[in-house]
Amino acid sequence: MTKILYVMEGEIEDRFILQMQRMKKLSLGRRIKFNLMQREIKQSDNIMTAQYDKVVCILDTDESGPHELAKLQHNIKMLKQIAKSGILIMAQRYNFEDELKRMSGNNRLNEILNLKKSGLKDVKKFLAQDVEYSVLKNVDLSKYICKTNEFYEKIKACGISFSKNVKFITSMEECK
Amino acid sequence: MIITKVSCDNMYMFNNFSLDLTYQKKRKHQLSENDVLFDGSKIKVRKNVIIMGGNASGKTTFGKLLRFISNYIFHGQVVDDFFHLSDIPYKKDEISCFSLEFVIDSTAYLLEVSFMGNSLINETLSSCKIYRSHNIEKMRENLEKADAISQYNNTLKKETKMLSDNLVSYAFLVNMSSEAEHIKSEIRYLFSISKRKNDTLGQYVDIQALNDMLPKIDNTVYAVKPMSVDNEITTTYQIIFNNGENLVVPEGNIEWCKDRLSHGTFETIEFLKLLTFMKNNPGAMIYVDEMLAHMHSELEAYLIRKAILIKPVQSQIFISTHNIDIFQLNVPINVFVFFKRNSNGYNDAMYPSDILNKNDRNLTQYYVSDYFGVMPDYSILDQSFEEYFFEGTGGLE
Repeated sequence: MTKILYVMEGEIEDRFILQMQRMKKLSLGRRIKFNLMQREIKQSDNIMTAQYDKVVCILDTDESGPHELAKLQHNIKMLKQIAKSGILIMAQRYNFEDELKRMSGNNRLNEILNLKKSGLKDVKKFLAQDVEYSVLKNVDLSKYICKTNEFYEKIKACGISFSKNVKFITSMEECK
Repeated sequence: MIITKVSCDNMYMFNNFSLDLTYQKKRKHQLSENDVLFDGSKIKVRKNVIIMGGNASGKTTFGKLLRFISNYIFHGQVVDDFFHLSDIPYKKDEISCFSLEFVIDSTAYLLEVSFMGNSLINETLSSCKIYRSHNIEKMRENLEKADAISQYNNTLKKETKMLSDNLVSYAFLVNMSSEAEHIKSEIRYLFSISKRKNDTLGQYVDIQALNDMLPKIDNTVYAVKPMSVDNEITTTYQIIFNNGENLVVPEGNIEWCKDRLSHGTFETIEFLKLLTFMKNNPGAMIYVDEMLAHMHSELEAYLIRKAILIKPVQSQIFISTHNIDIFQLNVPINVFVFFKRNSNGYNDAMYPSDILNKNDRNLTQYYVSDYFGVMPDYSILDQSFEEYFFEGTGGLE
């Protein structure tokens, strides 16, 4: 079985990726929370402890200036040491909440999630719990990360390039 | 005695905790055939339980909890100096409570106890007969309806009455009924909890078995021979090593000479004693807490399966381990229970069989991928290591 590591920014994405694994939309794999756009990986970090076949990076792109992209470039270089056959990048347009709006074609997160409270704090708190995405009928999960290419173009425009075994993907299917 | 459910509140790191050991879905595995409460019963209960989870997830304290309750019933009071009553409640100024649902032969019992410090506050013991046609719901319905065999309640006095310096049971010491006597006579248990304090296993040395098996596990051992005192064979024996050295183990207590042995050999001897105890005590409840931690992971898995097979049908065994090779064992998936710290910081338990519906041989992969959400995230230690050991170098200098 292919050994996969999913790296994501926070609890919300962590829960989402776990749900996608349970729904068999993503292959089974270990999840580690690490903000690849904000922090630089050090050799001593837990993320560098084990080796994997594939490393899948789930990125928030709401803050993606030159500093953030430089950090990402460094981090991808580090992750290559633990990813035997390559790195896949899944870029969320802005962040997970924005992806959720896009997947459902609705800008009201409380409606999508059937929540009474509509404050962003309440929504985030809810999303950091065990949300059953399989019961959210209006959410089209196939649209998740379909805008990765926009981020890829932005990176290219900044003059940043990655080696061949770093692939930007636009659907969870490509992860399998 | 077979435990079907254990619950507690404000005890150790368990808050509103409950573990139902019964299950509904029929398992095809041959080992599951012995999971019925008694011949012909429709009720299935886990009699083999393998507990896994991160550090401080409650594996050992679950053993302590069962030991505490077993002591309470067997002795009628908590006398074991292993327990310090003041250590048990998490919130010291609040009431602690536990309940144990268990079965002896074809009778179900429910013991519900609340206490504060060494003062008993409420205690109810009830029972009901289980018939072959009963399922678990019917059994529990009857237990709820049943008249109490014994009941103690001092809440009306607005004070907790101290019966002695120990926590004393009304049903099992102060006002013993014939049924309580019967329960006490049927209780046998053995807890081996993390070497901190093992129950005495000395008398359960099978020297012949040791002589046969120990040289096969540790090739520095030549033989194990019994020793006699005044021509009487005792539990004292000697281990003869290939280099001619002898090690006398007085009264079968290997603790006294553990420094001469490898950790793995020491654990093997202890575990073989436990197997002998188990074989000779049908109906006993056994809790083995990381007893084979120094053993090669394959040997540990091998011995754990042997323990499950040796265990008499009427007994129940709980084994905790960190060894993920255990997932490769030929056992039904519902023997596994995972302990974890929940988001409130308390210990919780879950069965992977509730999430995976089949005997998935990839349980290792599911577990290491944290599919069940029970693995601790060690990344939280990164910053501390950076500060105290790497001093900002990131581990490469």
